[in-house]
Amino acid sequence: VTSDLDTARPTDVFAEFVRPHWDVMTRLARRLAGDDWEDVLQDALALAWRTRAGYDPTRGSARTWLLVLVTDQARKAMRRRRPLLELVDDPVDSVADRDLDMERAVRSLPERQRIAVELFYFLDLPVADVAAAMACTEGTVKSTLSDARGNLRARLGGSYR
Amino acid sequence: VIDPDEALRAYAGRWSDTEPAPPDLDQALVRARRSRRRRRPVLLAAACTLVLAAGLVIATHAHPGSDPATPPSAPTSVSSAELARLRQIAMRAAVNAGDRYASADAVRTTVRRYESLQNGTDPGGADGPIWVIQLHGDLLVDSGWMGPTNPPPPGPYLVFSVAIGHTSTGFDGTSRHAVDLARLGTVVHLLKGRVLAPTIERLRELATTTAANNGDPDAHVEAVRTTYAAADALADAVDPAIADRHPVWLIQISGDFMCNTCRGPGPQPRGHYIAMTVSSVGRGRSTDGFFSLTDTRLDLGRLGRVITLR
Repeated sequence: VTSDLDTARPTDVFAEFVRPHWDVMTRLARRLAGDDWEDVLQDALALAWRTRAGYDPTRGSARTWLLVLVTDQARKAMRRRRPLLELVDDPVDSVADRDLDMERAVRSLPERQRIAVELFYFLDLPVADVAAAMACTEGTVKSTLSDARGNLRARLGGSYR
Repeated sequence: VIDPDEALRAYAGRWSDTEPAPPDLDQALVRARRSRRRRRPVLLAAACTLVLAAGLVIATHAHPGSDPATPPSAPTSVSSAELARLRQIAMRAAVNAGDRYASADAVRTTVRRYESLQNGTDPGGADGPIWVIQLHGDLLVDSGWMGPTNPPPPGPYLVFSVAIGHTSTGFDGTSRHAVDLARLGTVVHLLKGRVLAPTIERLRELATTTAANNGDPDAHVEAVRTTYAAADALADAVDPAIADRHPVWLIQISGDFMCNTCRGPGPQPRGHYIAMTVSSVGRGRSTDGFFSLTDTRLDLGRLGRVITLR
């Protein structure tokens, strides 16, 4: 399917190309873009549609290509918008409170560390796929994740060691 | 002791369990295809916007005394549903900033009018109606902030904007100075706020007990809301690089004390100032705090608005 992605392709073929990865694209947009996730996802899909002729399957999987597009759009959205004060429900128990702390800590990570964390932990991608999506080596991903965990320890403090 | 790796996996699992279904791909694809065709109208709209902007600039220069931040003369009419929504947004923001008893005011304006008030000049560009909400309380924003300083300095005022019809907010950070919302239009009072919040009462009770236990029940008590890292740096100046940004109250008790609970060789430590941190109330968080008894007075005012508890 992927080798036929060119401008003459019918829409339904492109849809079938995207469909297996739509769920993970959505999850990544939700993780990275907060309230703007629908716009980010839509922009990434539109960009994929417009640039589908440029997709080269020899340079990476379709999933990696699509995730890179989502990440790029989310980055633009993050830089474009004002800093956000997330409006969340008041936590009612210790688990919800801990989750809120973790969510805030993850969001406050430096951009590359956050993306690595989102891809590895929240999208459950293997390190090799994270490396492909971030255009770096697996070793760099591991060290970035290690740095991120160190940062989270510092941000969360208390009993996090 | 919690391992961040395990905590991340556990939270990611819980997050995944609550995730809703993705949007319909086919409909999204229809919109994606339309976005390509829309280029020409977008260009046309951009050209029209430029013409209108040029006209606006000319009109502004023709009346040099005009103030872009001058409020409209007509009073703001707000539906009860809109008011309830704004109150809910303000309350959530107050809770997230650590003071559920903050007061809140709002004014309906436009993006450019608000930017003009903040920056002194009309930024131009896209415009649209927004609500500007200002909270006043013991506010601290410890995360979700991507501004030039990290974390932002604490301050009694927090201003953010809410697009009409949306819940997303543009957030301008905490500040020591209030924004004069009346310059933007008719101010709507959203939350009355409280001075003697249960938080303050709890702190007062804690400080009073501590002072009495250490020999001076009539001590003077003041407190400031800050982060653990900032409190630690001010009190000890040992490791200012500590990055623990948990919100805490730093309490300073002034009196004549002798540490009745200290154990060790030699006489009981004495001093005139007790400094202690207490985890932020209302977040259910336990923070490793500190307690010190010295003769050195801390300048709490360096960390934010100081509250006298007794």
